[in-house]
Amino acid sequence: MSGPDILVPLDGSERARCALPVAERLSELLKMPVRILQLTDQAGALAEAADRQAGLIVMSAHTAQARPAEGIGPAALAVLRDAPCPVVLVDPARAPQAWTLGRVLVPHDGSPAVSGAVRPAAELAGQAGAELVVLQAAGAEQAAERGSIAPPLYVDQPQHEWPAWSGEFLQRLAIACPLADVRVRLLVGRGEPAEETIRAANDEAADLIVLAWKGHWKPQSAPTLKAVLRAAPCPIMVTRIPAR
Amino acid sequence: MAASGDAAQTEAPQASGAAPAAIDPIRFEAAVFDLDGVLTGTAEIHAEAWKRLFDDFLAKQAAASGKPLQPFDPKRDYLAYVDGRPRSDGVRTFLAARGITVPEGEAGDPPDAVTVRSLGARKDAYFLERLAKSGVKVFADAQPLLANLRAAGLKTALVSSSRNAKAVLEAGGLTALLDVVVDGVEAARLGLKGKPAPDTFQRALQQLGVQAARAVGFEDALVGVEAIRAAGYGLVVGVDRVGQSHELVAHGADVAVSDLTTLQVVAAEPASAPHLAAWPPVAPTEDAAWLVVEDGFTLAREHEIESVFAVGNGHLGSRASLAEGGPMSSPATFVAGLFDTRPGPTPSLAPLPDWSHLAPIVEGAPLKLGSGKLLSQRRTLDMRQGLVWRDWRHEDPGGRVTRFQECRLASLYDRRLLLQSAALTAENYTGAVGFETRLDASVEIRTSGGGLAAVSAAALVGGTPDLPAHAAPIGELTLQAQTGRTHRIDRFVAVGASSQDASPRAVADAHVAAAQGQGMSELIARHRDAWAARWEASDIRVDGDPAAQRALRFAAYHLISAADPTDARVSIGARAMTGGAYSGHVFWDTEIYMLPFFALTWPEAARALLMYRHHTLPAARKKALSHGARGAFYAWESADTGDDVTPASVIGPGGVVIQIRLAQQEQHISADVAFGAWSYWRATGDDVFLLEAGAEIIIETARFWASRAEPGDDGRLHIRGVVGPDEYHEHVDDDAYTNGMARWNLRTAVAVVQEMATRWPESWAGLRAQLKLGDAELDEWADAARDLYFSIDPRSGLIEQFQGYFALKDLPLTSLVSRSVPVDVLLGLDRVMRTPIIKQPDVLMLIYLLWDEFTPQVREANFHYYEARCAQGSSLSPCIHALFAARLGRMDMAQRYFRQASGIDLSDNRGDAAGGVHAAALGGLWQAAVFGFAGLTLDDDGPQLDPKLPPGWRELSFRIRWRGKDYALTAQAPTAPVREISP
Repeated sequence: MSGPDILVPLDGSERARCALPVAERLSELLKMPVRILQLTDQAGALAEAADRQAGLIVMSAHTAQARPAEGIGPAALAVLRDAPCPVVLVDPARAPQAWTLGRVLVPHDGSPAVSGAVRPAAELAGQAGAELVVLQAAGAEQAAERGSIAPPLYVDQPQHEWPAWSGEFLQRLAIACPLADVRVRLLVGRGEPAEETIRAANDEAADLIVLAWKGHWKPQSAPTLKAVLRAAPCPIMVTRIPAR
Repeated sequence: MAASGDAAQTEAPQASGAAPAAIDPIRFEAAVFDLDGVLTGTAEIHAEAWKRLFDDFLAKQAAASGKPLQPFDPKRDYLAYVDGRPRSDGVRTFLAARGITVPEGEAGDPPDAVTVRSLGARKDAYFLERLAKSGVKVFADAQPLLANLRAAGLKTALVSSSRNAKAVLEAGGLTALLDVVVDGVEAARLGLKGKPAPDTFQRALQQLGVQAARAVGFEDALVGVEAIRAAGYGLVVGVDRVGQSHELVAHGADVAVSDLTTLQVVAAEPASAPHLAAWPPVAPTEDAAWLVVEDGFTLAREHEIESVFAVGNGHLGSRASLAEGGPMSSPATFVAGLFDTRPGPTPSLAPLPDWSHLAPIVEGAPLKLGSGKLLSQRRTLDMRQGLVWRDWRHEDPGGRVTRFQECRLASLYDRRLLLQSAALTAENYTGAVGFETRLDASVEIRTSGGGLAAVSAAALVGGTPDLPAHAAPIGELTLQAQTGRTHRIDRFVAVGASSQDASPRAVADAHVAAAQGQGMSELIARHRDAWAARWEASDIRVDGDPAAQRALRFAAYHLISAADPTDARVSIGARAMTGGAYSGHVFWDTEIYMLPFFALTWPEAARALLMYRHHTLPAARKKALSHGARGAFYAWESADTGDDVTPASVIGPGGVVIQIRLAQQEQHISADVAFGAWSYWRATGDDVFLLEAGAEIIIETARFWASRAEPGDDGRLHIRGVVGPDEYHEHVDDDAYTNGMARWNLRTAVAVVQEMATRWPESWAGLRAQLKLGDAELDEWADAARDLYFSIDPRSGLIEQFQGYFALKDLPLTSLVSRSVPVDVLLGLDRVMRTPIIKQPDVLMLIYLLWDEFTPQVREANFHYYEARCAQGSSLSPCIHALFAARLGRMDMAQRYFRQASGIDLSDNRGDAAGGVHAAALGGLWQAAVFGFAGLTLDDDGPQLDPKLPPGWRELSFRIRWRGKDYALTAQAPTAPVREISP
């Protein structure tokens, strides 16, 4: 057993190869070797990932001619559901020819759990010298976890409130997510998280979106992840929020 | 009366050379001196002048009557009839003793007139003539005692009947050693009675902000001793320069000394070696209605906990950081008024070293929440006693279980003191335990503006059951922990600050030494008593709603913790001293939201807050001038000098730079300050405040409005280009709140001028000359108040918030109901400005403050209209809506807003309190309960209640002081009607 490395599952299709430029750049940044895995079935990919203690899986979000309704194909979804490490999904229709990492967008609901889950984003941004753009976007339903921080309900005096709130948000993020060597910018989303994430990704020309996910994929769950998979203009890294 | 305890050690009159008396710098906050015969030897000169005057007068009387001349006795007659008395009283008293009565006369009587005034003037001339020849003799023991008292942190004042006292002090080189001088000029200006009446000695303490029980008075005159005794001073020292010790004691002195140097300024020696009893040093409060409790540990919430559980005494404020620190610890202790412009650019309260850091190191490994296993933790804000408690049990990675208990406080008894008592118990191991600290001796902090704070610390270490106590630097301490044994550490920290102390380091050292001598239990007992006294005056009780009860006590706790009646140079910042947010800056919050609590439950604190505005009048005048106006334009954000320190811009939530124009446009603050001054005077009847500060504030702010209003084509005056309390609409014309308050300010100034001219013509003449007020200007104010634009629609009763407001395109708030961010973030401020959505009450705020000026129909119509358009974008908003709704009888709505206001700091899942508690919202919550639910109104007949309690509340009770009388008030829910159910 060796590792960690970056596992790139390929199914032999040309579309699956869209993940390679992203994987290669991540390999340079993270100093992890790329290991190509010919995918015959998703169970094999997962077994390989677990066995080799993969640090990252990078793969095409789908390989169909037309993008699936949910933006992700069955193989990628299966990997995503059970992967023991973060998964980077690349939409073949929007795959970059040569991928660089100058800006990482992290949608965040203000909860400690998400702060912990997006740690790889900060590490990656630090390695790449990229800017980390944190988007506070919790939507109408604020995070219920103790220690969560919501946008200020009261902005008594903006000249004091925003610096204070930004500092507090970033300090809470930094508990679980080292930010010392990272350029960080904080945005506040105005609406629902998915919509705000897509808008921010476009406005900010993000090279990577890092999304924390609880691991549920039922019809009513993961609305943000599903929406972002459908419309993200760049690769998406999905990290898992550990189950309680 | 004999001195007790550790203050003065003698009962009998004491001559020089006997065992010294001691003045405890913790027990006493101020020393007040008479001049002649105590500090200076001008008594001889006075006696000579009196003798010259009376002998000349008596000789003429004798010649006229043919009776033999009985000359003035410079010793016996001086002491009996004129010593210590105001000059005119002296003339009257001595002549009356000889059976002679002369007319009072008046100022300006010819020198040879036989009137009280003329004789007094002649005596003064003789005195000055002699003084010029011989100079001032300062007693050799005066300066050392004054210096020692000030070095120990006592404030000093002089009370003299002499109109020449300041000249004498200057000539004697004593001016710099006295914080306050109450002389004959001041007494006449304020109409204070002379000795033996207590007025002048009370006035000195009022200016110092010190309670009489915490003051020492020094007098050589018998009438002076009587005056100090009547004023209720904690210690009366008779100064015997002429051999009348027994008389001094007979007239009320606790002790008589002939040599001031025999008075030592030190703490009383403890009766025996200090012994640290079993922990805790005081029993924790058990009644949950007095407690805010946090169980367990959520790292991300630490900043909120630090704010909510902060301790303070108005001079010092300290966040409740973990003693051992942690990745989210943000310890901060502030001194009121000590600002620093570093890192800048605007001044912020300067944090002191982390005095409470006390990190256990068990067998070489720091005991940390993040390492090992948390077994239990409870932190408790004990509001009744002004303490914060912690009880923490932790298993370290080596399996050792340690219990660490702690309490800390900012002493309300001695505001320079911070105290911490901790106990460490090794539950299942034996081993070495050390501690890391960040303050073991003394450090000094210098601010960019030259301010200085000195922090000194000392510790006592002991244990139970049988470990003797000893002083020890914490950093060098190693305890040999044994299973089941508890080690206790008491830490005494004192802060001296250049804003109050001539020698901050000496003051800090003196207070630490005194505290160490007295011991933790005694100090906490005094602190607890001080809190008990405050709660006696300020508590508010709710029967039927425990959450509301806790919220109201929480509000009162932090308001009490924020105020210092002894410091008239500071005010309360938006987050008090519970956090670094808002930099300690002072806004209109203080006068409009917090002041009512203080004016009605702690008038001394309210007075000090308003004196801060008086001290910052020069800066307000300067700001008015810079805006092309006259009078006083107060800073929107104020720090130590009163200059406007509002930041000019900020990076907003979208990463864009927002220009801040509030310093220029939010002008209503000038009227708000005036309203605070007037409200305080109305509540207390403190005429001295009106004469020395309040009238000047009200007049100068009125002058600002008169110069600020511009004539329009409609024949009215207009105030253009302002921001009202609703900050969603900038640069508007004729904001209703601004114009309404400006009009009130102008009218009130006219009324105050009339009152002064009638009741205090001399003071009015002086103020008028000082402010260069002419008749034309006074007339102008009345005209301006009449002509200032203000409009109420006669049909609807609606007041337009500003010109053009009603034409804005409506955007129902209900369409934004699912918003998760403030409306100005959601829509952008530019768009919000084009809608009638408001941030907080503006018209409603005006109606609330000037309730009686509006009809019930106007109140109802405007509440109905504006409440529906208010986005509650400010923490100052829900409380006023709760109050207003309650007054209108909309109790469900009132309760909903009250709960919203209650949760601003106490809701535990938003992070809003991380930078400090919202002091104005806390004051507003108190107002919602008192003026809303209880329906308190106040007039010449006293307080009246019109209760409208929210659902579930059975009773609401509280106390207020109104015009010198204390009232206990109870509002009750109406009894449910009896309903017959039998067939």
